[in-house]
Amino acid sequence: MIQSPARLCSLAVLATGLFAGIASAQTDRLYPNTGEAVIGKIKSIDKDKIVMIAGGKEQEFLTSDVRRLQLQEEPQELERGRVLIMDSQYDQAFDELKKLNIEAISRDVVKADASYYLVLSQGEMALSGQGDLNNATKDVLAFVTKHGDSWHFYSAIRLLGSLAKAIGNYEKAVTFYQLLAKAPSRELKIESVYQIGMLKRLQKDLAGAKTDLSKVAALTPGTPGEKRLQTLAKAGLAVITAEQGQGDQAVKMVNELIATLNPTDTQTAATIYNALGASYAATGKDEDALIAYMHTQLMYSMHASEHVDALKELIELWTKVGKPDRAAQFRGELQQRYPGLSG
Amino acid sequence: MPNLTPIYLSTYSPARYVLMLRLSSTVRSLSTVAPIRRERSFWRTACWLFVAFIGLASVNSRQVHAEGEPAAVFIKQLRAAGYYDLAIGYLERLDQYPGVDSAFMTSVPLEKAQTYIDSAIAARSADQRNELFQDAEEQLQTFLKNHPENPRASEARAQLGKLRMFRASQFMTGEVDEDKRRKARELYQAAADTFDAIIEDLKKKIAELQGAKIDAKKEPEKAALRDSYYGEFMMAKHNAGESRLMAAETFVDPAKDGKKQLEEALAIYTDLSQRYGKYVQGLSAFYTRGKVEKTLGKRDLAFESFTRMLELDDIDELRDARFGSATEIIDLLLTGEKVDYAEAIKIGEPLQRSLRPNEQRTQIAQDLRVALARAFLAQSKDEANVKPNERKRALSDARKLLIAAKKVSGTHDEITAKLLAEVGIDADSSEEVATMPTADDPKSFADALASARIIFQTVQDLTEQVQSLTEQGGNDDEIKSLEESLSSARQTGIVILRRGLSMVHSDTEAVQINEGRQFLAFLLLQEKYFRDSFVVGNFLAQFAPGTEVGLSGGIIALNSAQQIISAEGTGNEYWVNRVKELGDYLVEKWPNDPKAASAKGVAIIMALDQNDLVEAKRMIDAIPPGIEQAKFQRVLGQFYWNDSLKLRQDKQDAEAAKMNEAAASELTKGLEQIQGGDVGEDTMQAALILAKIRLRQDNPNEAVKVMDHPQYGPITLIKTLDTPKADMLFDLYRTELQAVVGQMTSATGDQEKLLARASQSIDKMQENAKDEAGQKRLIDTFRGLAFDIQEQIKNAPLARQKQLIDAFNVFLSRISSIAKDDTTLLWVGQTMLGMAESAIPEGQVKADGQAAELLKTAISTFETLKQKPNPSDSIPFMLGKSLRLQGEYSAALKEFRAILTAKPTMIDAQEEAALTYEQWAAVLPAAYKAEAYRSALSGDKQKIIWGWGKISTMTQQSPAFRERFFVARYHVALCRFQQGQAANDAKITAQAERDITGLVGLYPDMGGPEQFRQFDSLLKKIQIAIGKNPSGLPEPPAPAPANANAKAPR
Repeated sequence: MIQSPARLCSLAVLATGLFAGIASAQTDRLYPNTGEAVIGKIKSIDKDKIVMIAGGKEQEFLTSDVRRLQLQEEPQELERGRVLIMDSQYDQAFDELKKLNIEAISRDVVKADASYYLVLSQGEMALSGQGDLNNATKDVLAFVTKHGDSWHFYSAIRLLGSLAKAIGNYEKAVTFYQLLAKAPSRELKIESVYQIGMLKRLQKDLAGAKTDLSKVAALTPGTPGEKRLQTLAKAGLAVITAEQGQGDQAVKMVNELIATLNPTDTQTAATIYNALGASYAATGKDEDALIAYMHTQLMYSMHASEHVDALKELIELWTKVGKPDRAAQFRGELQQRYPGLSG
Repeated sequence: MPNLTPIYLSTYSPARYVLMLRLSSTVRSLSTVAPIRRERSFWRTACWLFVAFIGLASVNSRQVHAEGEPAAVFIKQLRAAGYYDLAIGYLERLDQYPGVDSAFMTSVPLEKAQTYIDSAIAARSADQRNELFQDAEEQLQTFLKNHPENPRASEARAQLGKLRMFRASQFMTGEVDEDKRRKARELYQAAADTFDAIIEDLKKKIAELQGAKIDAKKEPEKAALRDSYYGEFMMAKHNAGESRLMAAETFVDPAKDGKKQLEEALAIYTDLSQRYGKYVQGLSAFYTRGKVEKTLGKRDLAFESFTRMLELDDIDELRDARFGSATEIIDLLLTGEKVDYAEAIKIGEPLQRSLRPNEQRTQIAQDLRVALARAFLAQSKDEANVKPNERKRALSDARKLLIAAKKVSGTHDEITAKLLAEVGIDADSSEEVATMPTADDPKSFADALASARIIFQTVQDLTEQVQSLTEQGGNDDEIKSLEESLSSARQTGIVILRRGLSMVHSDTEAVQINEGRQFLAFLLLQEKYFRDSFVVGNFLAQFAPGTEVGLSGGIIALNSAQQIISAEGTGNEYWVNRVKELGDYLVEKWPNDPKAASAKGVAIIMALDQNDLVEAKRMIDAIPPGIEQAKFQRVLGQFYWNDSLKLRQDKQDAEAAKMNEAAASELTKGLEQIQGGDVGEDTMQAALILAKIRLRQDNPNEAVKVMDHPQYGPITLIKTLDTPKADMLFDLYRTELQAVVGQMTSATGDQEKLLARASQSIDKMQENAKDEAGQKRLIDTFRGLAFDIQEQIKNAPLARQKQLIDAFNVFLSRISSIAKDDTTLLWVGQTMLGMAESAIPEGQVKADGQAAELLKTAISTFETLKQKPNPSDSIPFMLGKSLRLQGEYSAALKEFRAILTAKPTMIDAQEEAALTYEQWAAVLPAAYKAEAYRSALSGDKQKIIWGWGKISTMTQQSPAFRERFFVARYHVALCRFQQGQAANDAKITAQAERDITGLVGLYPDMGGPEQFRQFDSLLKKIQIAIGKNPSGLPEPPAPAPANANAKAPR
């Protein structure tokens, strides 16, 4: 008889394994962006869609419509790490996920999920100046290469775009953001246009940027996410208007956005007040610009990228209004809090 | 004690009331002529209290969480961060911002007033402060004039009243002349008028609500509003009384010239204490009432009021009022016709001792100390009634209290200095009064250093207070407040030292400069400016090598780098390298200092954390031999051990053995340096690992030696640990058992002694495995041990096998006879079964000789266990298996059928049952053989036993059962072949051939080389039987690359 001597010792485990395979089906949970969680078994996953079998029927979801998955057999560290990420506590999430031996995870979809959240937390930390941007980029690229069919594919691409932008490699960032347009989701296609428009502004191609952002601003939004992109595009257009020397017009444009400010979307609010600051600064109203940027400093500093932008402007403005001590204080904060982004 | 769940709490926090009392006492004290030099510290204390006093006014401000400009939140943030100028600028251009709530637009003057008040409190000059307070008052009056009926009007009035009181108190600070007294009185009177107006307004509102007869359950909002009015009403009464008392105290002789104000105040307080006795305001009014009575010269009434205050329960909200009352009573007792110092001490001493850490530095506590010191001084002077040694003690107690009071600056300074002089201490020439320096520019480096020393002391004091309060489970707000003060002190220190260090010149002494740098590095580290503290600390270490201060700087730098790495991870090469360099440097420059050696440890830990064991070993070897080196050798040994486990897991046995050697070497070196003294759990853990390595190296005698070692052996020393962890104990006794069992297999050991020790180890393991998880661990351990024994027997030469089986048999039989629990019995049975399997020669299916003996014991053990309630499934399974190996096939099938009736999918039992049919068929008479093989193939008639056919079908789909599938397919072919042969049916035999050739089409490798070989051999036999050329299986393909098509998630 062909029998492993270890068989005796592993009796219970194998017996249990068999029961699990034959007697009960596995349970996965899919949380869409809106609506109730769907409980069932994942049949297949790729970068565009997730197919679940729930109640004996197949249901298909676009990956962009899915908030998160909770998977059978996933380790606790992954569950905890994911919750921390949802709460933007990337450093703690990173510590939690680091504990995982990802290679030892047997289920591929769980392995991909864990790998993604690990590189996401690492990337977000780097974007907030708490880590190395190049290392993070390398690891996110490795994720995309290894798990090219992950449902997180486009989120990872977006992250790569942000990292490239933060490094200053705008050409590479454009390449990544262009990939977003290949997603079946309308929102991601719009985001692709928006991000490329914003990159053009950074590259001083104001006309090109205006064309792209105008397209987004003119759309009829179909989802809250699309509405958000539209608002951001309008804020971007205001900044371009200010940069083209029409500060008053820019202030008017931003005020329209403040009138309908969503108090729960703090990141968009930070972008809007930075746009207001830029608009006032363009007209030489330094104290008004200071007050605008101070909104970001005092109320929205949890968003690293926007906060860094505001801090850099505030350092200049405090000097201009004759308060070098405050400029020094803000410079200190920039260096202390964002050591990787203060240059 | 009356009910204290009051209305009051719904609107006002208790802290606010306490702060009001503090304010009143502080403000009152300002009326005394205090030296000008103290004005600043008084002012700061008063301001701080004032912030808390009126700061709550903005709590009611409407928070804007709708679309549009979030003005209310932003203005609050601007003020909190101290951007008052920007806040005023923002309020002035608020109309530029869209979507601001109209109610908020209306209250812009109120917001401006609050901003001016906050700004005034932060102002540095008195003129600036006055101007800002005036601006605030103007804004409040504008608001009240334009919006008298606004919902925030009563809040504005209260703020105006308090502001006036506060401004009045300013006139009574410093040198006070008649003009200032008059101005102060006018303002106090104006404040009283404001509070009276509030009282009248609230009276009406409360009356209206009372008329409405509100049912709190049905109309909770109205009930809350009524409660809120009620609370505001009592507070306003308090303030009205307070402002009158203060107005009276602006006179040089308040009892004579301020009688009218005092009488009015007394009426208010009497009303409060009599009618509102179930609220904190009412209860604490006894204290203020007593004070007014005392000022009016009504000593007996005052005594009674203070006594009633002291008779109340000691609750947090009333503590200050109780301390104040005690101080006043002591004063009455010491200034009466008959001086009763004994009663004064009896009242004051217990209260003074009860001061909490957060109360130690309050003004009211210093007043109590001074009053109590006066009582002790009176006792020390009473030669007629007090013995000399008691008088001496009283004098000493008075001195202690005065010295304690002197450490805190306040209104008691003058009297404290005077009393200290009485006891022979010159307050001015002795230690400086520890007032906190401010962050103003120092005059010189020496000035900065002197300030830094005071700050350093304050930081230490505050740190102790925070620790003490935290240990006592103190109030979170109090702890937070102390922590804020601590941070503020450190920040001030940093500013002063940075400015001071920029003033050093060629004559400045290097020692002092380094002291300043040391303070700075320490404060930066404490404030978590790690990069800055690294730079300063490293500079010190580099420029003051060999000195204490240099080492201190080095350690601060190292600590800072460690913190940075801990925040950013060891991936940051720059900081990891800094730590290594610094560690090397410190050991080089302070070679004999243990602190430097332990600092080096940080670098080693970093290297270990990065798993750079080569670098870690280099650094460890560089440390001079001694405790530090030994400690790290033990740690490194454990890292090597962990690596060896990983290598073993990856089947790299040779590498794992080498790593074990390295681990044993480090652990031995680290353990051998122990020369007695306390040995902790870490050291014992290291010794335990060394014992495990010795076991791995098949050297149980050495393992036992390590565990029994007198200096570090965990078995010898475990009793010295207070509370060793259960996990560690379990692991220890498990290792001991393994080692002892190992010793038993050698012919030389004293078997009886070893047996006794083994059974003792089992007992101890059981003691530490009582919960469910522990039981599981125990079972796993026994299983592991059983497997080890089985492996040992299997791999031993034949002669040794017999010897081993005998030794284990004796051991297990003895354990079985003394075991009281099922787990151990199960283990015994299982081990016996395992040993029997190992003792059956390959190719033989039925046990005989020694193996049969072992099975006999195993069967008897399993049968005993099976009779117990709720036996585990594994017991009938192992019984069935033992019976099969014993050749008792019918009995074995009975067991398996029973298991499978309840759990048909238990694959192990299905396999055993099919195998039992198959082996039984081999020994049955020819007439029954074919049918028996058919049963092995297709199961029994009841379909409880599947047979190999269904087993192979059920396992085919799951990758986890791949090996089982091929085993089942092999037996399908084998049984079919045997069935064909027994029935002499060529068709069936031919089918057996197709069973194999069909399979090879699907799985060319037939499940692996070993299975391939077995299938090939069987096929050839079949081919011969059916008269074919025995060609066997086609050549297996080359190993396939890793499976890359497993796309669908499993």
